[in-house]
Amino acid sequence: MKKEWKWMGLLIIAVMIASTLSGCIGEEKPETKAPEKPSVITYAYTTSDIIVFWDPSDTYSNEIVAMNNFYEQLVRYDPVKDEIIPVLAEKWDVSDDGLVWTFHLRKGVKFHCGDEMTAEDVKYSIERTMKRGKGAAYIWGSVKQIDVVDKYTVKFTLDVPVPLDLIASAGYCAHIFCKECTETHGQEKGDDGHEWFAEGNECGTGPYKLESYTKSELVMTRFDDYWKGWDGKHFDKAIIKSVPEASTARMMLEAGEVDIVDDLPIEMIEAVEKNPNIEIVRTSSFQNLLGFLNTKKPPLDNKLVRQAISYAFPYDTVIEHIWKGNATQSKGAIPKGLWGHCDTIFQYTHNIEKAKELLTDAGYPDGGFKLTLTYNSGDENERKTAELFKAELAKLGIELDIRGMPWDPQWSLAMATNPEDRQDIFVMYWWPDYPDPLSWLLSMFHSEEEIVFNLSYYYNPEVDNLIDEASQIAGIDRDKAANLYCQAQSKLVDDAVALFIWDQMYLRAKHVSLKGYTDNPAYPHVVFFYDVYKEE
Amino acid sequence: MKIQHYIAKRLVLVAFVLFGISVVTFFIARVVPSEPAARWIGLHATAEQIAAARIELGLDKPLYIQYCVYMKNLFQGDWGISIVTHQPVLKDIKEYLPASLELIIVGMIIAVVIGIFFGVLSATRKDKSIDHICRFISIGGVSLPTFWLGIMLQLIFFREMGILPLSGRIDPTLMFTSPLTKVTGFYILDSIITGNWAAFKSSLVHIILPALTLSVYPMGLVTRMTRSSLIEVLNEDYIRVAKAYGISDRLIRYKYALKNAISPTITVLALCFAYTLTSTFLIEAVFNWPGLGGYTSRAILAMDYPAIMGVTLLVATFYVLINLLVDLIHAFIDPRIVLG
Repeated sequence: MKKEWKWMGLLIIAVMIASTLSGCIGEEKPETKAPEKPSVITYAYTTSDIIVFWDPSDTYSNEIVAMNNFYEQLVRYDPVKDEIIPVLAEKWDVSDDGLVWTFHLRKGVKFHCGDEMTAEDVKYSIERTMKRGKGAAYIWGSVKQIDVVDKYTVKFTLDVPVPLDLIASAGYCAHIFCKECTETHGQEKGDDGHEWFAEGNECGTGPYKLESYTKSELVMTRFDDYWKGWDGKHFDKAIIKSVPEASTARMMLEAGEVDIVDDLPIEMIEAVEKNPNIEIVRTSSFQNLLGFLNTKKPPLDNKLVRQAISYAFPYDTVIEHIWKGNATQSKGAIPKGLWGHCDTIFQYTHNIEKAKELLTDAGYPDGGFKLTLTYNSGDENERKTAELFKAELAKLGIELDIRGMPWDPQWSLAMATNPEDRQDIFVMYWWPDYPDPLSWLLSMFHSEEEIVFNLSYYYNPEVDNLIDEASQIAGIDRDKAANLYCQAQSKLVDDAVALFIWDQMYLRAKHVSLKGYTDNPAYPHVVFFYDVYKEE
Repeated sequence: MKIQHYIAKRLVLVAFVLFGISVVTFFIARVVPSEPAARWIGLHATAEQIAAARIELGLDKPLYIQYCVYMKNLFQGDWGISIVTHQPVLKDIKEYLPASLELIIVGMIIAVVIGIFFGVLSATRKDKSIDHICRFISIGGVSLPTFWLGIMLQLIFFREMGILPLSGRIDPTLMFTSPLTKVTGFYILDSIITGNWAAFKSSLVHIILPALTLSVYPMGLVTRMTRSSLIEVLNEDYIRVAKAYGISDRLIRYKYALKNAISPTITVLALCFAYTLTSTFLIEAVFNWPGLGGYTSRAILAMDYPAIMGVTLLVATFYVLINLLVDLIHAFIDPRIVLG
């Protein structure tokens, strides 16, 4: 009897010794040949896939964070100042008709493979992206021709005067990469270089280059020949860690294991803000939440009913309850802070009496019908929003059937051949590929032959014309284009085509010692590692 | 029948089972409404891009042809490309499987050692207070949500006491000071093989909490099963004879009685092993452990059918092979059992 306890006791003691050893003995040996520890910034990215597309021509997903540190674009967009910042292009000019753009490139910029960046690389990169046609490549759709004028000058000829400077600043599919590298590796594999990229390689001009990659961690190290140079305070290495579980990310942040987390639930943000070592960076983003109303299915095919439920929506409660005030109610389709946003447009407010009035006018004084709402399952914020809406609609005698579905089935349902089978309300986030209202208006409110993202099935030639006209002149006269977008949005709001719910704010939790960080909503979740540094 | 014949016969049955599973899984995964082409391309894709992707993925062909293409590629070693990660499924599995296996093996060892110990303790001191304590622990073990338990352990041992690490398989700073060369993918084994003492300590220490969390369920199971079958065996006549002969209690318990009582426990453990291969996704999420569970759950949510097929076939293979192994072990332990 006693002998079992002895074995058990020995086992427990062994485990205790093992764990103590790991703690104590760590530093006992004099570190004669220990390499000097590099300065590292660690970014906890709450996703399981740090990189989905390695090919810079195909980017469209989480890799935006890594890609915008490996690669650079011709220009970058600063939404605060509403300015285009020169990056790989030093300056550029536009012809009067807006159809010819000439970019003058920076000299002496090196790629990670050692070659110098020239106009040939720019032409090659954009043409390859257009040819592959993946990801956000459509943004270059108006480019008719790209010419190399001389070693450092590139000329773009367009067929429509689009704002090419904004397009070239996009976070996806606008990166410049090394023609030489890509073609050489492409020849080895017998393709356009895609397989070489897909194996986990990069060749950009950015300040950091790839050191190692596993599913849980991406490590970057400084590129010594970066054109901006390394004067001043900069990190030697940058690590992006995949931390899908928010509570783990939070504990890592509080323990100082990571310096910044891209996204934590609002309750954790509030809790973590009390910690004197942590601060929260709040920025208006270009992301908003919309609820598309099915304009082709009764009863929402009646404008009065749509307006009624727009009045029934509890905007303030939702923002207070879900975001604790860290969001703003949407005004129109374009989020606050982006050009094309109209402060003067009408905004529905929560008003049950007004909603009842409109319903009575429409012939439904006591409601008496059912609506189906679909949202992205797993998204707690969308679910809570739907629940709050359900309670309000119940006051009008309208039953709301809430269905959480994974993206694929949700979208498939919206594309069902029989309009009667489709949902009544489709809840979805949207954000632009490059800072232009066209992204919302063209994708979601313009007539389309095949259903893609116009999930209100709203086909109004008047609105189409406004959108088309604006897109034609956005490159030459941005103010006029903004005005036309305003008019289009007024019509959308009046017709209550969708519920314009909230403009999101990004809430980033970071360690106070991390300095120099600004959140640029044009590049969601990207930390430009070159710009940040540590100060204890 | 001879053991080789028995094994051969069983392996043929394995092939049938796997074939059946592959058909069922494939068709179920494809019948559920989804748009894998859209997921493949990216969320804001245009209609033309989706149509092109559909052709690229071979989704325009009839279903049975897609199945035949898939099986043909499977036998040539091409398990398809994951729609979510865009990597070959086999490569993904090779990356995630060792992490899962290492965790499960360590967890199971803990469960078995402690479980058998408690089981024997409870059986020999039936209805005494120690029996009740063990029952409390084992029922707690199978009832406590693993997710919650994992976070609790993190709070206690990491946040409050600071003696064990929060998450991950190994200390990340080691990649700069003492990087681990991967041989088998089992970090503990690899660090022993390459003589990397720092990595060995670190990976051992990192596996403690997740393995403990994982072990709690099988531990409870093993305790109860060992207890009940041991009680039965201890009442047998031959045990009484052994005692009468003056053979020591410990010898009786662990050599004679346990050997006869252990059969049902082994069966249950084997099934547990195969089950935990993918059910650990909650533990993996909490401890940031890059294992198969997380990969599978993401694949299912995204209707990533190549990944779903790959993992299902892998786990099915594990199940049938482990069942075969268990039957052979039973035959080995108990000479009364005749195979075939």
